[in-house]
Parts: sequence; structure tokens; C-alpha cells
Amino acid sequence: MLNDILAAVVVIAGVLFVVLTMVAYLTYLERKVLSFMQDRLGPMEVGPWGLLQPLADGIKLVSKEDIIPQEANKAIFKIAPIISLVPAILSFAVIPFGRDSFHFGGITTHPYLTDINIGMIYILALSSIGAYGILLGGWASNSKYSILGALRSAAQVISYELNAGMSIIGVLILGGSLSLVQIEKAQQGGFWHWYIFPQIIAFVIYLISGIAETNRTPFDLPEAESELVAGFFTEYSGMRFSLYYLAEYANMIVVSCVATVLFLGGWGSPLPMLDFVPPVIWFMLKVYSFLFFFFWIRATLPRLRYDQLMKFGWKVMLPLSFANVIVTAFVVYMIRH
Amino acid sequence: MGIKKFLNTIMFGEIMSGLKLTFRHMFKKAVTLQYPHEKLTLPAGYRGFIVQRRYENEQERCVGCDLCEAICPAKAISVVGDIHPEFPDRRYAKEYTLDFTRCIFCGFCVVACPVNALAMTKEYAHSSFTREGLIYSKEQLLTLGDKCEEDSIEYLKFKNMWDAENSGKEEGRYHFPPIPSVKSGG
Repeated sequence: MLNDILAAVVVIAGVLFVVLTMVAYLTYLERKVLSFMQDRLGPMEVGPWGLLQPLADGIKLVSKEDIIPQEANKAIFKIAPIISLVPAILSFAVIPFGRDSFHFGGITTHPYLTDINIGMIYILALSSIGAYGILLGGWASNSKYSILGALRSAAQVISYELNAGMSIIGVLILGGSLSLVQIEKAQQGGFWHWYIFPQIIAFVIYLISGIAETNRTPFDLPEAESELVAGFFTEYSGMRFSLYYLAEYANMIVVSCVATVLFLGGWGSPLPMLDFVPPVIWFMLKVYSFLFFFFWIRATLPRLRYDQLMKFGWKVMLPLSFANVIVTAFVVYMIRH
Repeated sequence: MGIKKFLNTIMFGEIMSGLKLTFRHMFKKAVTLQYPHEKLTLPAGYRGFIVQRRYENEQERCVGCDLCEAICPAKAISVVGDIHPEFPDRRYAKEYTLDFTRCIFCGFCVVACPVNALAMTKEYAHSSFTREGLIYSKEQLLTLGDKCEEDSIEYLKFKNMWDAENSGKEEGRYHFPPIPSVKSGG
């Protein structure tokens, strides 16, 4: 019993450390990728090739003044960034990032924090809670830019979460489980087992919805700089601002991890002969290629107009994802009987 | 909608071509400079800070003729000319003030100067926290001129004003012989 608790604490600490470091260095990676795509070098001053830039940014953000507007609803204003960040971090609890359990001493640690049988629903629920952080923060700021950004964000997250949820159903039918560990296991043994091929439409819909849900370009209307200053976190500064920032990047990693698990076979190697590479490496490789794709999209596409965003979500992606669910269900039923 | 256009739409054809372009640019050389470490090689004729020049014998060239003040479109220059204290047949600038907060770096004053006392240099990094810090006196201009003598000669050569002075031919340009070295102190 004590050993189990100890093992859980070790994994929690490890996952938290890795996730927070990844989030910090994701900002560096994003700046570098964007810079190279725009024919410049990006951060170069702090440390070799600017490698210590996230550290300097962190120190700067922590030591900045924490401004709370006079007219703001102080309690909600203070708690909103936390509501935004905590669900994003909590989502990592169910993501399986490797195959093997580790033993040292009498302690056994699994490559995931917990394998609950409704893992996928858990992640969807948490990502919905994250939207409350944005909404409440925008509302509590008592500023027109914040409230506009928050409203846009709410509308966007609701419409695109629907698509993401519907696109996932196809995978759940194929995998026959809501547990991410089970879905991963069902896809092992080479890339032809991955669900990206039978579920290519769902994959594209999920990816687009994922970009929209994390409020990134070309769906960054909630924080459209040219129209809304900074959207829902216009009034935030210092550490609270950085909590929103962390939440955005943590959400990006969650979306990438879920896409990896559902469509690319998680830790599985693409070819059986490549099995000697540790599963964790495969997992990270796939997650980072998704993250790179997010940066790449950001460097390429301009922001959508609001009506285009809604039209695309409700009139194109939603019918497509419904059709995908129906066809998948029909085909799976025919094969099994 | 033709079949080709339909395929192009469902395959995100236009977005793909955009992605291809940005990906190609990842491997191109950066066009930016890491400024304090790398600096641009400035071309001859670059119009940077204006300086005052001296003759080879350390005498200042300026004769206080006011032509630069007259031509300056930004009214950045003010000259107070006076009779030279030691050579009563010569004039010099008792006070010479160049206000770089007003200067537009057009180079007219350099062209107007009959004795090549002014030149432009490749200096540009002379910012200041106060406005007064950018109003240069004659001494400051001369010191800067000593520091950037090569630049100023290059500028004058580029503007064909160097040869005119040194060829002996006086094509629209007065040739003032330098004031002989003054006895100690000057």
C-alpha cells in the first residue's frame, strides 16, 4: 500500500516536472520554428543559441507586478487563471506515454498515472472546464476587450469541442474502449494497425478542432491581437498572465498526446523491426511532430473571420464527423457479424 | 465544381502549398543580423552623423561663413562667426551648434561648405537619454571628426569634393590655404 502511494508520487512528480519543462521549452521551440520559417534566428542572446531564454522569461514574469484592475471582480479575477491551468495539467494523469513498467526496490511504477476506464471522457470533461477559466477571467476583468475575447472563446470552444468529441467516437468504436491504455494496445504491431488510416476523416477533424480548442492560429480569435489587444487576458499581468500562457501550451501538449494515442498508436513503433527503440522515444517523437505541425500552421495561415470559423465548424466539420461515426459504426457492425 | 477542384478542396490543396512554402523557408539562411555582434557594412556615401574636419596641421577648417546654416532645411545648424583672434584677416566660427534632434541627414551642409569643413560619417549609434545630449557643440563635432577621419574623407571622395580641393583647380570651390600652425596653445 505504502509502496503504491510512493510509486504514484514518484510518477506524479516525474510527469509534472517533464510537462512543465516541456511547456517552458515549447515557448522557445515555437519562437525558434517561427523564426526559421520567417528567415530569422529568434532568441539568440540568453545562453548558447538562446537556450536559457525560457528561464529568463520565467524570472521576468514571476518578478513582475501583479496588477488587478480596480473595477475587476477580485476573487474571480484571481482564481480564473488557476481554473484554466489546473485542468490542463490534470489531463496528463490518464495519458500513457510508454509500454514498460519500471521496478526499483519494491516499487512498481506504470508509464501512466492512472488507467481509468473512461479516460477519454475524463480528458474531454477537463478541457471543457478549462474553458471556464477563460470565460471567468474575461468576465471578471470588467473590460470590453476581455469580455469580447471570452465570449468568442466560449462560442469557439463549444462548437469545436463538439466536432472533436464526434470525431473521437469513430476511434472508440474501433478500439472498443474508452481507456487510453486499451486504445493504444489495440493499435500495436506496425503502422498499418494505426487508426489514422480507417479514421483519416476523424483525424483531420480532430486536428483542426484541436487547433481551434487551444485558441491557436488560424483560430486565435479569442486573443486576436489586432482587434482585441490580447483578448481574455488583456488585463492580466505577471504570474497570472503566465499561468494562462502555461495553460495554452499545456493544452497544446494534451491535444498532441491525445492525437498520438488515438490515431498514431501512442508508443508503438511504426515497423516491428524498429521495436528496439524505447517506446517513450516513439511517443515523444509523435507528440513533437504534432507540436511542430501546430507551429508550422501558425507560421503559414492567417486568422479566420468569425463567420468563416462558425460556418466551417457547424456546416462542414460537424456533418462530416456525424457521417464518419455512422459509416464507422455500420462497417464495424458488418465485419463483426 | 470540377472533379479536380473538388479533390483540391478536400485535400486542402491551397493550405498544403502554403505549408510547403513555409517549410522551404526553414532551411534558408536568416536575412537578419545579430546586431551588436554583427554589423552591416555601410556603403560609401552613407549619410550618418555630421562632423567638423581639420587641416593636416590640426587647424580647424571652418571659416564661419554661415552657408551651412543658410542651406539647412531643418534649421538644425547655428553658426556664430567672428574674426580670428590671432589672424585678423581670417574668420572662424566662435560658436557652432548642430542640433541632431532636428537634423534630417540630407547632406546639404556638406555640399554647401566651401572649405570641406563638414563631412558625413558612418556613425549612427549616438543615442542619448536627454535632448541636450544630441545638441553637439563645435568641440564635440571636431572630436567626432578626429575619430572618423577616414569615413569623412571617403564621403567627400564619394561626393567628388575631395579631388576638387586637392587638385588645385578651383571648380566652384574656394581653396583656403590652411592657417599656419599657431604658436603654442593656438
